[in-house]
Amino acid sequence: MLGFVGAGKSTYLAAAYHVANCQKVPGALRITATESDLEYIESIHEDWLKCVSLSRTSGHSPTVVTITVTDDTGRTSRLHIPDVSGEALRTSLADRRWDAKFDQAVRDSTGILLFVHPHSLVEPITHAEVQRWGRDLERDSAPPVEAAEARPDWEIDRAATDPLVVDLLQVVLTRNPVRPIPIAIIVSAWDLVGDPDPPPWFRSHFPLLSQFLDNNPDLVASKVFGISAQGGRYPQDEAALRAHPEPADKVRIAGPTRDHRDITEPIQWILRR
Amino acid sequence: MGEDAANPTDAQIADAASGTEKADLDWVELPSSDALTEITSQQVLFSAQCSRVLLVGAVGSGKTSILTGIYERLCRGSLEGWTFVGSSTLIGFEKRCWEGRTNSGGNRDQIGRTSLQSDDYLLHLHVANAQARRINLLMADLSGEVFKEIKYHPGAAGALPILQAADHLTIVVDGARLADPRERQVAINDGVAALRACVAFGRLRDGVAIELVIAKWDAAVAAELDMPWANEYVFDALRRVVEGDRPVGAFVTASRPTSGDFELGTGVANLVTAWAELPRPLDSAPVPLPPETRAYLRFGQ
Repeated sequence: MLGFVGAGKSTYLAAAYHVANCQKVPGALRITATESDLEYIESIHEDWLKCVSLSRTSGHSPTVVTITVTDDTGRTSRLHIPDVSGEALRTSLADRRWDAKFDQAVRDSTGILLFVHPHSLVEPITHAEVQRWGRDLERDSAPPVEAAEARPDWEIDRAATDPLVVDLLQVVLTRNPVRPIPIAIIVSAWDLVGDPDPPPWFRSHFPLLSQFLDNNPDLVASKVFGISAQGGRYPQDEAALRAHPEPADKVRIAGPTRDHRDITEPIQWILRR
Repeated sequence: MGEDAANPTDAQIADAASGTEKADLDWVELPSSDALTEITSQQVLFSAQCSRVLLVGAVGSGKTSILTGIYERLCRGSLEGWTFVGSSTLIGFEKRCWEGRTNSGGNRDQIGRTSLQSDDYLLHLHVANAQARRINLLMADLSGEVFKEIKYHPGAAGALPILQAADHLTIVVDGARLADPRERQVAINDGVAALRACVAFGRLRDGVAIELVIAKWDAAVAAELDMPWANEYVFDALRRVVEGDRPVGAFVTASRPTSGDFELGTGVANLVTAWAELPRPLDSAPVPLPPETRAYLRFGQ
């Protein structure tokens, strides 16, 4: 799982675990074996069931969730899903190094779940826009602002999300040998977007990444999914979300699907590749 | 995500569960995404078809803005038929865009690159056109300080191996200075002097393509200058410097327009199309830059 801070990785993992565990969603993956260590996945699952914000994943090493699942055709797969903090990924790109354990997980991966969140995007700002804002400010206001003597240094937080994700994928491709590697792109909190179709939304908000994916079919195979794994906003929607008799009813995947609650579809898409 | 494996991640799980994760993590170095040096660009040079582009112009003439203008247009999703395939220098582009937005790009241009840690000046883009033609562009902007050096001491151009390796020499004239009657002739002379030094002393390769660019064309148009004027008084003056049958193209750009009805990155796609043309046969190996040129501009010391 790749994604920067607040991209929704852990929430998705908790929700998908629930859907696979409850075995009430037609077509969804089903958990068919019990693992010996469920501490991490059960703890985030509990938070998800309580409808409270998951504590932010921390540390540079990934926490690996291992589950055994079976699909509709009876095919059983054992999944190892490393959950690494978005902050660690951001720092890795800034420092150009990452934890050896995470590197091993990257090298062993047979597919990628790439998360983006519509409310945590840093959009590119052009010089022309900055100048236009400046002119608007001059016209509309205000006493002249003293020119700032000390200009802020560039840091990775200044970079737009789109090229930063491309940078991350390019790094991953230098470490992972699978070609083409399947990448399920998950637009989190899709309920907040209010758009019927995830791919056009993704193309308009991630134009550089879209071009990269289109132009490198020998390197990557991708599909875009819009998923609401939380079901609404915290804290304002908490009461309504808790009122669902079956927690799986609060999740949703956009687009044509056998059951709109089957948010295991991105994982299944990777497994089918 | 890994699947169906008796693989090392099992060991990771065991480590995590038993709390044996080392306090001192082992780290794996990742490839840089900042601008390239001559040394680190070798992989790009030999990886695929690569066009080496050198931009030469006075301090603040708009060289870096042309490069970031290309990048920003790709980030917006379109560059008139050119699309993004990849880049080894995304962070390098992002830094320069930031500097441009905060008007601190001039600092980079004023770095002499003779004594500072500024060998990382090569930007890389891999692009494709609608006909599925792909090309690596390795682009360098010669710092304004070096420009001054070769303007006043043209023989110094002979000490620039990057000139000898270039497939495209792009001379940039500042359109904002053309718009100012006091600066106009100096701006034209800057371009002429730089081009003359490069042609006379730069040991350019046979067939190197030369592009003449008026940057900030929006400012020139705002001062009621037009293309016939530019052709007669700027481009023709520069063309006269070039002898023989070297290919010479003329372009106007408005990478970051501040006036007039110009879009972001006006004209930069035409430059990319020109740079995508390789003067050498496509199947020939590129001429590598010699390793000793890492600090390639030490003539000033």
